[in-house]
Amino acid sequence: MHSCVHCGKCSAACPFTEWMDVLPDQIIRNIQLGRIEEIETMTPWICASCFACMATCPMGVDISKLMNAVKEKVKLRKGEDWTRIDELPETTLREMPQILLVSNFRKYTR
Amino acid sequence: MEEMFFYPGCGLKSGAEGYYTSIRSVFAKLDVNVRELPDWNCCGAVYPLSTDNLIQRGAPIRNLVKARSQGAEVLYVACSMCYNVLKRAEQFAQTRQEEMKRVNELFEEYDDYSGGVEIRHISELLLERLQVVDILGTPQEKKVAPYYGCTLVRPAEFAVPPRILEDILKTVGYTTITFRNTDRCCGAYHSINRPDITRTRVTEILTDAVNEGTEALILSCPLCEYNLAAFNMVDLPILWLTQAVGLVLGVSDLGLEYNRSVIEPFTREASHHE
Repeated sequence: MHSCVHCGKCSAACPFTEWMDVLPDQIIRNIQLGRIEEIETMTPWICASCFACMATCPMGVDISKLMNAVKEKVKLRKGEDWTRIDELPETTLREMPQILLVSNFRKYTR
Repeated sequence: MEEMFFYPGCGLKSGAEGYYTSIRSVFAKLDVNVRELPDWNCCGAVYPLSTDNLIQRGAPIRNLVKARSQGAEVLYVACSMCYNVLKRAEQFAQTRQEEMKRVNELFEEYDDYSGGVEIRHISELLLERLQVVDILGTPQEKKVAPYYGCTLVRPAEFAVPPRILEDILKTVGYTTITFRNTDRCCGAYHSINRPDITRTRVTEILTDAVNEGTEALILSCPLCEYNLAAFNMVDLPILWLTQAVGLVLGVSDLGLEYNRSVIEPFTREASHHE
């Protein structure tokens, strides 16, 4: 994380930035400055851990891992889920394949 | 007949049955018997990125422990996500001795695991077998494009050999297209909370492929397949890797009835004719 030179290549490579309110390289800066919990961003929840950022980073920063850590710190380890399993329609649970349900629950529930 | 120890994962049992059916029949044609790992469990679908929550390591590593207890030196995986999770879990087991002491407590009835089962993707064996078995596909002009998605090729350390899907498809007679979005994420698990994101990503991927002249998209990830088929507005045929190979090798039982996308007339025209 501290080796990040803020070149912005991660944000250029990310296929999801159009849905992000804070860009991936800005997330890293906020982590460095210790104010990640103050900015209340959607970005870590939009990250799909596709590793496109990591593949392009010239400094070898594992950005997906940082996004994951932010999710855990601001919500999941406080006991709050992003996906509310009990609120999902029964059709979702019945029709969607396990691979989708399990990957989503692993990323979005505590 | 050669034998491959095989980890199917949840996807191949629910939704991707056509993949499993075609794996069995295509490898049978190539003199390889598919031996399913007994008592396997879900790998967890995504590799745990947190290093201080060891319980998440249990699911993938239990499969490695089971494979070793069966005497497997190599465990073959078809699903891209399972491949990524198990391959990374094997590296974790080999390199993180301290953490593995705790993880091994979950499997007290077995000897401690510290690595030893090589994880390979079925495409690796498929290409090797195609190169030694004297079977040639019908040369044809059908243009197909592999869609790698994410977990087959990233992180690079765990990637399958570059362009391996193109190599397989060319070997059996297809013309291949490599399009810009071939390894760009389909939206993955967003389909539950944010289907709008998945729809946008899928539309971009499929439109890109079609614009490049693709007649069928070829893949190996059950999550990609679910998303791509769910938002397939351009009716591009989507086939499993082994189905595409089986068609031109004249293999009959390819589980095509399970496919969620419209695959006719592509499959009829691509089929091997004596």
